[in-house]
Parts: sequence; C-alpha cells; structure tokens
Amino acid sequence: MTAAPDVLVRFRDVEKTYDGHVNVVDRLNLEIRRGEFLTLLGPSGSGKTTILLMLAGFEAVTAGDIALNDRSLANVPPFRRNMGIVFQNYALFPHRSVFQNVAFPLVQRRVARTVIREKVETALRMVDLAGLGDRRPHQLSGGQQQRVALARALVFEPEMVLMDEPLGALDRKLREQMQIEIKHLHDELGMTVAYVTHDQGEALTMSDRVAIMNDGLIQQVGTPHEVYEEPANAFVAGFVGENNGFEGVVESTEGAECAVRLASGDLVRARSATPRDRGEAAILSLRPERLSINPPEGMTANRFEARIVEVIYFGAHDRVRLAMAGRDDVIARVPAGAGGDTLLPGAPVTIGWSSEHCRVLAPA
Amino acid sequence: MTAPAGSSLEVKLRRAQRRRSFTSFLLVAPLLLFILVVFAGPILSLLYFSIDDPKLVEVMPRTAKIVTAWDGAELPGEDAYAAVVEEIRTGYANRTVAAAAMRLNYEISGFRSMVMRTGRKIRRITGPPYKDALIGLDERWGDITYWRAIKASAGPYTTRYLLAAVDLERRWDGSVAKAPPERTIYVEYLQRTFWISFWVLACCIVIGYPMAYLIATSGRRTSRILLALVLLPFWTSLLVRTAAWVVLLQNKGIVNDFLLLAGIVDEPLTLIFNRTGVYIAMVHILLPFLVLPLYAVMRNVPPGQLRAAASLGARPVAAFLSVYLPQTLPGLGAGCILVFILSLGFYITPALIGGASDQMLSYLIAEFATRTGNWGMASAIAILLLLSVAALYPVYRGLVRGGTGFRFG
Amino acid sequence: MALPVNATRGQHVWYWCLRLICAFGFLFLVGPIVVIVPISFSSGSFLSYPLPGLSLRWYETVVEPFPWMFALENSLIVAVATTLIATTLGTLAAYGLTRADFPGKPLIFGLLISPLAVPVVISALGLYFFFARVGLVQTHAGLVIAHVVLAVPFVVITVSATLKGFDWNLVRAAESLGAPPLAAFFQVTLPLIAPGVLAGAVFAFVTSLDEVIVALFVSGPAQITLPRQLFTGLRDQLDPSIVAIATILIVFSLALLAVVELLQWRSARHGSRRDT
Repeated sequence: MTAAPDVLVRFRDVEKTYDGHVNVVDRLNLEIRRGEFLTLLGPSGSGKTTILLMLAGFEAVTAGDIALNDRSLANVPPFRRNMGIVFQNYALFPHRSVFQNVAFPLVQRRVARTVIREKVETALRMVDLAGLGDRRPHQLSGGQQQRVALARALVFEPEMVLMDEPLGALDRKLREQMQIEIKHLHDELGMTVAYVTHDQGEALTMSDRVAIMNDGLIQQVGTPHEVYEEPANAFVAGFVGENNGFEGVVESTEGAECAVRLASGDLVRARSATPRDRGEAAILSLRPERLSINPPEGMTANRFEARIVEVIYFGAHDRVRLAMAGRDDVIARVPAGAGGDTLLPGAPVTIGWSSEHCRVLAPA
Repeated sequence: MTAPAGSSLEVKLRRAQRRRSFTSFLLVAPLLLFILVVFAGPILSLLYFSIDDPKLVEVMPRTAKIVTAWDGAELPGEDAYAAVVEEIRTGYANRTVAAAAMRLNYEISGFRSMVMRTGRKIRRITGPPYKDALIGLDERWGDITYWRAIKASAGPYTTRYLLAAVDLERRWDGSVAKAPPERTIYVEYLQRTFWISFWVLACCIVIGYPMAYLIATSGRRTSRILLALVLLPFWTSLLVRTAAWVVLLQNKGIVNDFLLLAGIVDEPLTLIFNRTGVYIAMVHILLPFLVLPLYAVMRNVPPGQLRAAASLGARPVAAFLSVYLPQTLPGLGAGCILVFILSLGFYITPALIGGASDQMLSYLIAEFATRTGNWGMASAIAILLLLSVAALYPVYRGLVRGGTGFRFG
Repeated sequence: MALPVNATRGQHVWYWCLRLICAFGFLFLVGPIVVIVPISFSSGSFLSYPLPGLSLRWYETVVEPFPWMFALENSLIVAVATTLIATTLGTLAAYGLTRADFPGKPLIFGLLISPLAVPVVISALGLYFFFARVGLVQTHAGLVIAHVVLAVPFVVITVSATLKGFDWNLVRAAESLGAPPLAAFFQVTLPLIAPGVLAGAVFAFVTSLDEVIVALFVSGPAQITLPRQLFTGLRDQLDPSIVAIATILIVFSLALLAVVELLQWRSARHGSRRDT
C-alpha cells in the first residue's frame, strides 16, 4: 500500500464494540494528514473519544486497522506510540511538581539531565508558566493546569498530539482564550493534532478539518467552511450551527437546481450537491443568516409571506422567529439595526432567500 | 450499527477482553493460589478429618474387614479372634498397635490398656482355638461390647465425631441415640459459648450505645479525644489487655483494693478464674467493635432531627424511639453481629481469666488438637463453631455492604 | 448531648444516667491500660498499689536475653517477614482486582478476605493439620505463612479502598508519555496509593505481632513469640516483668495509632485538595 506522503494516520474499516452487539465505532475510514488540526466533533456517545482512545492504544480495535506512517499500530503498546495526550481532567501527577510532570516523558526516554532542564523550561515558557516549575499541580488554577498538561504533551516532540475535550472544565472566557493559544501553538510548531470536542464553535474556530460523528459513523469530513456551508446531510446541518429544516418532496430537477414542494404546498427552489430524483423525499436546509426579511424585489428566487412571532435581542444581531408555510419556528438572523423599527411581533413581512443558499439533503 | 451475535467481531472482542482480564488475573493469582492452598484447602480438609477414621483399619485390616461384615448380635466367630491375635501380635512387634489401641479407647475407656496388655502376653497364644485363648488372656475379649467397639472403629470413615459434637452416638445396631451422660459435654459447651456471647453483647449495647451517642454529638475537639479513648484499647494488644485484667482482678488486685477502700465490700470478691472475670475482660475487648460502627452511623444522623421531633410535639422518649433509634439500627445491627461472631470464637481470654467451667468451644478445639491429638473431634467441633458463625455471617453482610476489617480475638 | 434549658425532671435523671454510663464506659476502656503502667516501675514484686518504691528492676528483667528478648526477636522476625509478604501479595491482588473485570471477581475478593470471617482457632486448626503433613510445624517459615494468611485481608481491604478513588487516567497519561506499564505502576500508581499500602502494612504488622492462637498451635520452643511468652507468663508465673513488657507494647500501640491517624489525615487532606 502506498500512501500520499502527507498522510500520518490512516484508519481502515475500524470497528469497535464493547458488548459484542452494538458498534460504538463503525466502518471508520479516516486519514489524518501530517501537520493538520483535525477535530472529531459529535454529541456525547457518538464514538469520538473511543476513536482517540484506540489511536492512543488504550482501547483495542475490534476490527480493521490503524496505521501510523503506513505501519500498523496493532501491536504497538501505548508507551511506544509516541503520542502526546491532553486529557479532559488534565491527569497531572499530583505527587510531582510541575517541572517533574513536564519532565516525565523525557525521563522515560532517558534524555540527559541538562537537556531535560532546557527543554522543560522552554516548554513552560511556551505556555507562559516560566517560574512555576516548583509548584504542585493543586497549587495552580484550572487554566494553568491545562497549560501544564499541554506542555507535558508537547515537550517530547511527539508524532502527534491527541486532545480529549481539553477545555471542557474551563469557564467560557478562559476557554476562548485557550482555543486561540492552542491554535497559535499548532501554527508555530506545525504539529499534528487530533482534537475531540462536542462544541461546534470550538471545532469551527480551531480546525483545519472537522470530522462530524454520530452514532459511531462519520457523517462528513471537511474544512469548517465546507461542513458549515455544504452540510452533507440533515444531521450535519442541524449539529453545526443553527439551521432551518423543511421537509418536502422533490418536484423537478434541473442540473444542481431543484424545486421542492413543502407539505404546506409552497414550492422552494434550492440547490443539491448530488443529483436528486423526482418524487424523492428531501430535507431543505437554510441558515438563519441567509434568510432576508423584506428583500428587494427580484433579488431572491424564493419569496414568501410571513408574520413575525418574536424578536430576541442578541446584541450584535436580532433573532427573529417567523411564522410561514404552516409553522411558527422559522428563524432569521438580522444584523443589529438592519430591520429598523419595522420588526415588531405580529407584523406581516416578506421573506426570501436565494436558491444557492438553500440546500437539498437526504432525510436523516 | 449492530453486529450479529456470535459473529467474528464478537469473538475478537472476547479475545481482547480476555487478554486484559487475564493480565489482571495474573496479578491476583499468587495470593489466590496461596489462600486456596494454605487456608481454604485446610479449612475444607477439616470436613474430611471429621469423618476420617483410618487408625484401626491401617493396623488391623483383617480384623476390620471381619467385624464390618459381622452383624453385632452375638460374639463373633473364631476367624475374628484369629485375626485379632495375629494382628495384635504383628502390631505389637513393630509398635504400631498403640495407635489402634488409642482409637479403641475413644469408644471404651480402658480399651487401650487392655490391648497393650494383650500384646505383652500374646506370645502365650501358640495356636487355635484362638477364641478361648484370647478370653483366657483377658476375659473382656468375651464381652460383646468390646467387639462392638471394634466394629464402630473399623473405619475407614465414621460419623462418631460429628455425632459426638452434638452429644449423640451411633449404637451397634446403627440407630442414633443420645450419648451417655459422662460424654454429653459438648452441647453444654455450645450453649455456654452462645450464652457468654449473648451477655457480652448485652453489656456492650448498654454501655456502647450511650458512648457512641456521646462521641457523635460532642463538639469536634471533644469527639476526637473520646474517639481516641476508644481507639487506644482497640489498637492495644489483646494479650496486653488480658494481662491488665489478670493484674486488676486478682483477690489482692487493684479492683478489690478499691472496693475495700471505698467500703463497698467487706472482704475481697472473687473476680478472676470465674465467669465474672470473663465477662468483664471480654466486654472490654469487644466494646470498641460495637462503638465504632455505631458511631459511624450516628455521625450521619442530622443533629436537628430530635429537635424537629420535639418541636412537633414528641416527648423525648417517643422522639428517640421513633426518630433516632431507627436511623442507627443498621450500625447497631452490624456492630452487634460483629461482636457476637467475634465472641463466639474467643479462646485466649477465657483460657487466662476463666475457670474450668467458663471455657468455650475454641478451648475444646485447642485441647483436642494440641493436647490429646484427637483430630477427628477437633475437626468436628471446629465445624460446629464454623457453622454457628456462618449462619450469622449473611446477616452481617446484609447490614453492612462492603467490607471493613477488624481484628479477631 | 446537651440538656435543654427547660428540661423536665425525668429528662434530668436520664441525662445524668447516660452521662454516668458514658463516664464508666470510657474509664472502663482506658483505665485498665493506664493503671498497670506505673506498676511496671515498682520496686516490689506485688501487682498492687501502693507501690513500695520506684525502680527499673523489671525492665532489667525484660532486657535479659531470655525469655523476653528472645521472644521479641522471634516476633520481630516473623512480623517483618509477614508484613513484607502480605503487603506485596495483597497490593498486587488488590491492584489486579480493581484494574479489570473477570469472571468470579466478587467471589475471589470474598475468598481473599475470608480469613477475617473465620474464627482464628479454626484457621489455626486447619493450618496445624496442613503444616503437620508438609513438615512446617515448629518452623519460622510455617509461622510466617500462617500470619500472612491472617494479615493479608487487611492489606487487600485497605489497598482496594484506596484504589477505588484512584484516577486511572493518570496511568494512561503515564503510558502515553512513554512509561511502560511497570514503570507507570512504580512511578505513578504506587506513590499515589502509598498511604493505603502503608496502612495495610501497619495492620499486617500489628496482626502478626499480636497473634497468639496460631502461634500456640504451630510454633515450637524455637519460635516462641512475644504474645506466646506473655500467654505462658500469665498462665504460669505472674510477675511485674509481664507488666513491664505490656507497658512497652502499650507505648508501641500508641505510636502505631498515631501513624495510622496521620496516614488517614494525610490521604484525606490530599483528596480534598484534588477536589478543589
């Protein structure tokens, strides 16, 4: 088997089951490229952490194979895989100082003492913890512990770094700050990162590519832009970002353009990434920010009469709930001030969107 | 999403799990093997020793065979006498007959010396008829009860030890009946063991419950100190505590000095080598085993509850009975059964502080095993004691989930 | 246990009754142990007060090589060997039992701690019969083996309890950082469960040092231990040298109590820190 040189890890038909009946990971085929930041995104129980544990060697693969640099990892124990791991609870050794924690992987590799000192200090400086080497983990704040865990996972220049919801325990502000710091570290050091999270915002902000998991299956792999703008199915559309979903039946197709008849009888023009047949059931996906209220005549392929149900102030934007096509949960996002004073509950409005922003998806 | 049962996936999964289980099991294996060989096996072997009866059949196999076939109604025939003569002769010559004689002595006391005397004189019997010759040596050979004793000892297995442990014996015709009065001592020991344990437990409850309550409801500092006062004797060697009581309880000991000085008594009380001393020392040793679990439960009863009950109109006694006591019952139950089980097995304290009529089952076991060397009887009584404890143990497990360790006396 | 301000007469009576019982109880528990200590410093040979004078003559008897120092030496040899073996076997087993599931685990755990549930006389009898057949009666090895049986449940229980709160991610972290399983055990797991292991070792040591019944069954004159010598002394010739050795043992148990309290306090403090 020859692989393109940039592939670092290759999952081939990997399956994992704990009870012999239900696969928590099913038919997994995935490549992680050298130097990329790949995020496994999915709800809890979707199998993303299990993938990480298999890659780290803590869970055996039930079927299939994982290869690192085209060599199977099947018989490589965790301590020889050379992967740095950042755990959700950090898993810092409480009986050792910060310095000893960070030095641990180097000591295991029998690195000379002077080199260890130098490398650990560099690593601590890199994560802004210079001078705290003598502290015990419990004497540090949550964010500082997180940095120690990061330094410990990076200091031995591992083949790649695995992170399992590393920011889950931090408060929001610190979390956003750490997201940026981790991203910067990745850019500076050029390391390969496999990152697990259930936070779609985190995934979109940090990743080069995102793999979206549900029920043990990969739903879509792509850049943040791809998974957001061109979701492969209704699950991805619903899980990544906010989404208006409409059920309907394909009435006609013309290249990528489709006309879909909703249950209410309304006809919507939309675009499909894959060819659709007439009469096929479909889900339409429309992002709230792509829905315009009172658009200028002729600007949009789809125009409907609607009524405002509710307007919620979000600071930078207003979230407008609309009633149309027999339902009252259609959401539009309007930049602050764009609607003027006309957006009042009960007011009748015209709404519209262009066909290229409305995607036809197969039902989940 | 699902793999069919029995698929190759399931097989692989099992293999992976088995590997991890196996390495974990390897860590447990040394101790498991050790406990099985050195502890569980020997304990189970007590069952075997309680029915094992090889002595006579080893030394006098032919006799054993003949008397086993004999119906026991009338004196056996010439062949039995011939076998006895021949086997006592060889047994006496190579000094193996003493073991068989010892075994026969369990059935009728005096049988041992009778066999040994027969052995000394066996040279005088030179030929048949052996029956008359043997009766000529010792006329008891013509008494059918001695032959029935041989039949009862013929082995290789016997129920006599197990039956004797509950004061029963098997008659020559196979029926089971109450043993003669001079041998019915074991049930008395069993009753006494339970009786002593019961009173020790009662004393522990009366003293221990208020103590645990006081520790649980005192302030932080006071309760720490009081708890240390309970833990100190708990950690002190059992022998040291027993020694202290031996010193204290003597006729000219400190307790009697105090009682005389205080004018409570006019002449020294006998406190040692009788039941009183045994009760005092055993309560002293077992009291912490009641107080500690009780305290652990009481500590978790919210202190405001009695006040709440009082504010709802309950009188103090009613409040205690309906609110406090039920919440402490698990701890009380666990402590009680622990104390009871522990006291059933007591040996050292009664042996040093009690008199002859204050010894418990453990004493019998030790006597039979180390002094008289009667393994069968020792095993049978051990089984009796073990069954007594085993009957209570499930109750204890039910009351406390998960194990806590305590030292045994 | 405080009396309300408006207590009734009946409550007063009850209150003072309970106080009296408690006072008696604590005096009863500690009194005997405290009272005999001064007697060991008596210059006379009566085991009673008032003391005729103070002296260390009984301690001089105790430090004579025979019988007490000989018994002490035996006891220490057996107790140290017992502690080493029981702690090693018990810790390994507790670790294996916590690490993964395998069939019959509860049963195995029950079996390993079963020596606690069986009256010691019965264990002693079983061991005696077994040793008699394999030639271990009246040997040091036999006594050590017997004491390991009695001591090992304490190690299994204390180490298992400590491992229950152990964060297994720490072992994963160590392995992912390049530590082979054995190194991870010695560098991460063992230091963190050390308080439990130490507490188990103290229990094992005390169990062996205080054990007399099994010693009566399986040991010979060459293996006489301190408790066995105490037993014989109490039965045959009672003199203040017994009280002197008892005093030494009381001081020793006080020290051990302090050690165990310290260990528990330390691990509790450690735990609460991890929570914050």
